[in-house]
Amino acid sequence: MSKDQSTAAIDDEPETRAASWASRLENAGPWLIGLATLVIWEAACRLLEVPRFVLPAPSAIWDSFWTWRGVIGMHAMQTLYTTVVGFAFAVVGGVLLGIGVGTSKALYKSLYPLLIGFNSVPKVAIVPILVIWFGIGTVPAVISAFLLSFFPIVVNVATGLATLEPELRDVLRSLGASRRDILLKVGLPRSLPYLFAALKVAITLALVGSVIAETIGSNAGIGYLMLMASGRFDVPLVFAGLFVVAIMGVAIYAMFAKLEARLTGWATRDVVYATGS
Amino acid sequence: MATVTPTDAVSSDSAFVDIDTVGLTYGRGPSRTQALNGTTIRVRKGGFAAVVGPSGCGKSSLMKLVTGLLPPTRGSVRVDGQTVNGPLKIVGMAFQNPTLLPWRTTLRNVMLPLEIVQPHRGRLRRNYDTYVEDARSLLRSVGLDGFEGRHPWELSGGMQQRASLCRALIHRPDLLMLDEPFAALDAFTREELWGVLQALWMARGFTVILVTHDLREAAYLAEEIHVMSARPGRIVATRQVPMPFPRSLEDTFKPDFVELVHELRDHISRERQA
Repeated sequence: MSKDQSTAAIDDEPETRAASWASRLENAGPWLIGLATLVIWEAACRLLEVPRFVLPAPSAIWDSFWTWRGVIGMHAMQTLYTTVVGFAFAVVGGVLLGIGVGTSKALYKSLYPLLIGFNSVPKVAIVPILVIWFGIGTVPAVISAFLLSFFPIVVNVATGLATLEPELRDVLRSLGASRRDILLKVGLPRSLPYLFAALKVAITLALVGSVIAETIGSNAGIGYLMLMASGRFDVPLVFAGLFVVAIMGVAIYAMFAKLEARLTGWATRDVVYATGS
Repeated sequence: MATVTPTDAVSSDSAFVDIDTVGLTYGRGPSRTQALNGTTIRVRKGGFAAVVGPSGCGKSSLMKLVTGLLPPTRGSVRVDGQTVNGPLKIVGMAFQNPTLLPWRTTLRNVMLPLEIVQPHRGRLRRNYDTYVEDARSLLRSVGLDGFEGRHPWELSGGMQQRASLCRALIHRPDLLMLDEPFAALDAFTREELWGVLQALWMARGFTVILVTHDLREAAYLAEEIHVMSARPGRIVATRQVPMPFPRSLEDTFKPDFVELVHELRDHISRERQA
């Protein structure tokens, strides 16, 4: 190292360069780790000569996906459809019930134990009942997506409303604000970050709910496809189905994360500082 | 600026705020606590009263009584001749915690009361520009011009407290209730805000009740200081502050001021031991 370079090191420029490198590495992290996993997986399958029906290599999974892309696409759309519909009902119902539970002490006391009990019931056990009631197909999948994603939304909205600072409530009440005013001006905006935290968890749970229902009682959807494929020992196709579910989950999650950043940037402001704006 | 001279003790009929032998009890059965017992405070219209006392003496309960957030268990509270039996709209409040809404800009935080209090609420949409101009000039008067578009988290603690004061005053309340508003600030910022509050009070002529544990603050700002006892709180001493307004920080080092603060401190320490 020359003398010039060593004096330049006193300047903070190399440090910021290192920082920008670190942040770039952070952003690329998921991709790098994912890619590394696939490479190791592929290598292990080839070197150890693992049979396809035990653990197919990523390349075999990709082949299977490409061969069956039309069928997979059709089933994926069905799964996406039941997930989104069930999730939409859960958001509407969850927000309404969350507002009720979060603003009324009586409702909180009388409903919370029931909600906990309801959430402790394994949803897999409910699907056969749903099938008896509504028959095989879309409806049980929608309902089970709803049932799985409903609870976190209720709890988080209620928490957001219940943790309102008492001083702030006093300021508004002393001005003659009605309960509705307080809810609209302060309660709901304040619980938006809680709602989004719940939505990100809930959407992946909704996907799980749909796939569970499809494996138990359906004739369409990724869950059904995986069940059929495993029946034929077409393990690469089962894995292709798994990957499709995972990718759908990540995609919807990312959508909500974007929306969250736009609507509740004020709640995650330290991130804004970190990027230097 | 006009000079205001402190008045003599306020009589019951001329009082703007009349807290008359008020008692307040929380809870029932064994968990009952008596927060206030036989508390009497009178404040003239346009006056500035401070309430000091050992911590936990029920000062904050007093705030809730006067603003109508809590009904008294005994006695009565009257503001502007009317018995208080519900939230008062002519009151502005500020607390130790500025409680600004993080998703609103400073300007929109200050304008929040206008969206709630009548008649402003009904007029807000039609006269929006006038109200914005009002809020801006209020912010200017506390030295916050240029920060209207910033969010609360971009402001320092002192600036947030200035904005909180503006929010308490935007709907032109006749009564300003302050609950240790400057307690969380550093000494220099606090003294600066004393000046800001005094100037606002002298310019706008509202009535102030300031709850504080800072005796210098009480002596600097108030016309009359009420010393509360330990729980259950009642008034054990009332002292006029004879210095003329506007007061400056220099005044706080003068002998009679120091003596006054000293005397108040004696009262408080006696109450703490009791």
